[in-house]
Amino acid sequence: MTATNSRVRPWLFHGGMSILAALWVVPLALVVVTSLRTFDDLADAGLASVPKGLTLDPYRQALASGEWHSIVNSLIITVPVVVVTLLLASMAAYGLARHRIPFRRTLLLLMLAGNLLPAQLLLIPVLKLTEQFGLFDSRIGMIVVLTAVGLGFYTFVLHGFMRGIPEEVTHAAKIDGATTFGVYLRIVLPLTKPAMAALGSLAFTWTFNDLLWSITLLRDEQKLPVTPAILGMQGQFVSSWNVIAAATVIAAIPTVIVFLRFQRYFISGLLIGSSK
Amino acid sequence: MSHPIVSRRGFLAGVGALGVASALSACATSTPSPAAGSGAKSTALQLKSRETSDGGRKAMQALLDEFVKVNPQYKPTLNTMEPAAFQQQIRADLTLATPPDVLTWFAGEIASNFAKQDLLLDATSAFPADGYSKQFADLSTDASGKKIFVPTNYYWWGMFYRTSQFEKWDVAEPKTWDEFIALCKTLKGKGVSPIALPLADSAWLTASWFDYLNLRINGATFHRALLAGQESYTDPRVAKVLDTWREVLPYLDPAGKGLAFQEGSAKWQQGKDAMFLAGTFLGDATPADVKADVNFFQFPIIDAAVPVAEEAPLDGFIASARTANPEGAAAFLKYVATPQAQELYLKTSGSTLIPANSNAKSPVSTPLLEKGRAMVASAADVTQFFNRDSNDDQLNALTTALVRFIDKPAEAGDILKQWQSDSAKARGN
Repeated sequence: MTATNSRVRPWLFHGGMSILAALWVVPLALVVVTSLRTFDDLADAGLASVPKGLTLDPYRQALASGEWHSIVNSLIITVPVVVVTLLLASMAAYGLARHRIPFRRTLLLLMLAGNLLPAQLLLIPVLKLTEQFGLFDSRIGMIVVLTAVGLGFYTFVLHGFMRGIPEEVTHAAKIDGATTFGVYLRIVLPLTKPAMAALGSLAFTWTFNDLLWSITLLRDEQKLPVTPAILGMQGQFVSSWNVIAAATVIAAIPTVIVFLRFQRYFISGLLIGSSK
Repeated sequence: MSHPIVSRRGFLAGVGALGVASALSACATSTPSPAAGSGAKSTALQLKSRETSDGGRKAMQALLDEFVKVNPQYKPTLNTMEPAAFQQQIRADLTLATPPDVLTWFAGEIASNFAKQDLLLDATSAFPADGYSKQFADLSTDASGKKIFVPTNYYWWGMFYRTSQFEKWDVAEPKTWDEFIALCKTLKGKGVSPIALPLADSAWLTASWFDYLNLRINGATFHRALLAGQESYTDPRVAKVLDTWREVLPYLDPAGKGLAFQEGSAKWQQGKDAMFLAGTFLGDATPADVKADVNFFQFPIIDAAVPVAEEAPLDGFIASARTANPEGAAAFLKYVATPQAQELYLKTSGSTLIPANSNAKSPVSTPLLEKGRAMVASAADVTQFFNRDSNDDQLNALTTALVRFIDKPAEAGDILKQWQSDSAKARGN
């Protein structure tokens, strides 16, 4: 009985998982297929129909409508945001985790509380502030705001990781003459690398996919990142589904690359706290 | 003798205080000062448009290119934003220190409200003395009597169908409500879903049914009074509108609730739904080979004694009151009011629109366009559309009520009470 059980089980498992995986892939496949069809074909036969033929035209149209430019804008905003957030968050987390700073718990909770506010609540005040500081409708303004918005969460997570680093390691470094900053740079930072990589890829995805802040803080079409640019391809009543699908596929490429590149860290980053 | 001892904590507190102080002073000094630069006036002219279609973009650019040929002193730029985001941004845009100078917008209550808050540039000098009907001129005027809006084109609403499909089913355009119900019955008997009403992302389409039924049963005067809050939704006349609509509900495509506008229009285009109460944008979305087959008929007459009113939403331009280039903005408004500019726009965009200036001719005249123009011209009265004649909050109250009515037509009394209270709440009393 147990013998048959152990033979049947893998089949059940793999069968079930294949179905789940297929369900997972269907929407993605639908987007890719849609992106390869002509608009008239789609309008005539509907989305859920067998394509009459495949064409790369939608991709050409998406790129011709200036998608490259908006992807570059997205990267100009995303890369500094990720780097600056991680740098500041890791410093703050180190300070809060390893030093007896007065009100450190309050500070940490304040940062977390800030994250619990819905972004919609902040839109108008932040818009007015950026205008006062002359950062409205500029990519620098976007970088500043997105960095500030994410900082609390990243600090909170990194704080958790850094508390897991044995005190003995940092004490040993101190005894060997390392300064506070030296300990941060040579001991804490290398040990937090998996967590940083995991957070980095998350931060990249979130920032790259941000839509709300960019349509609030940016106005000039030339400065728009890729998400509002794709939104701008939609018409008031009808949209070229195929071109939008193609644009979406193109826009997903950078995030996919980042995720594939950091996937290894991502999984080990998730595990690092678990064995403590 | 003693050194001033600066503790780390004290130092940090000091730095913090300095930071806060400088931030506050930045707020105080950089307060927006519109049109403060009295000497050097800006020559930049930004047009913010919500025409995201290819044709619409090209047409806007063509307008700017022509404008600059006549007014080379200005440097116009085009900035296009997706319509939903545009609508969301416009309130913030109009209060910016450096707002877009000219914006696409539509006639109606929202523009009047902007004017009430002094957000719109006085366009009286740009408004041409002749060419606009009294009705269009009135729609462009705010409460204080100054012009705030320059209309450029309008479209119309009607019951759209495909000529070839109607021939195939051997049916003809109905004129009256009874004929319309009979037609729905015939079509359903032939296994065709008579009426398309996709609601998944376009519940606002229910407003077109309400507008037309109310216009046909109670007339435009009551309709306006109702939208302005002077009449109540619990009025028996409104109940009659729902009673009449109830006769049609069995003929709505039952799948409509789950369909997006674009899916619904595709279904209509394929002949799976026979009729679609819509604006001309429905036909504009069809493939080139279908366009000639698109036809419409006037919303059926219910009470012959009620003067016929049609919905003809009017689009055009407004300028921001805080623009750094008021002369340029006014010059542009003056230009888009001319017949030449309106013809150029329609020719380039290729949309089924009628120029607002009666001296302008339609550059591409199709039978469909002439039929629509004749219908609007013969109407005793013209309305804009529910949300243009009221506002978006009122539209939300309407969609809540009407979507519920489609589901539970028996609860009409309750629904109207709720609607009246929602509407009053949205109005702030």
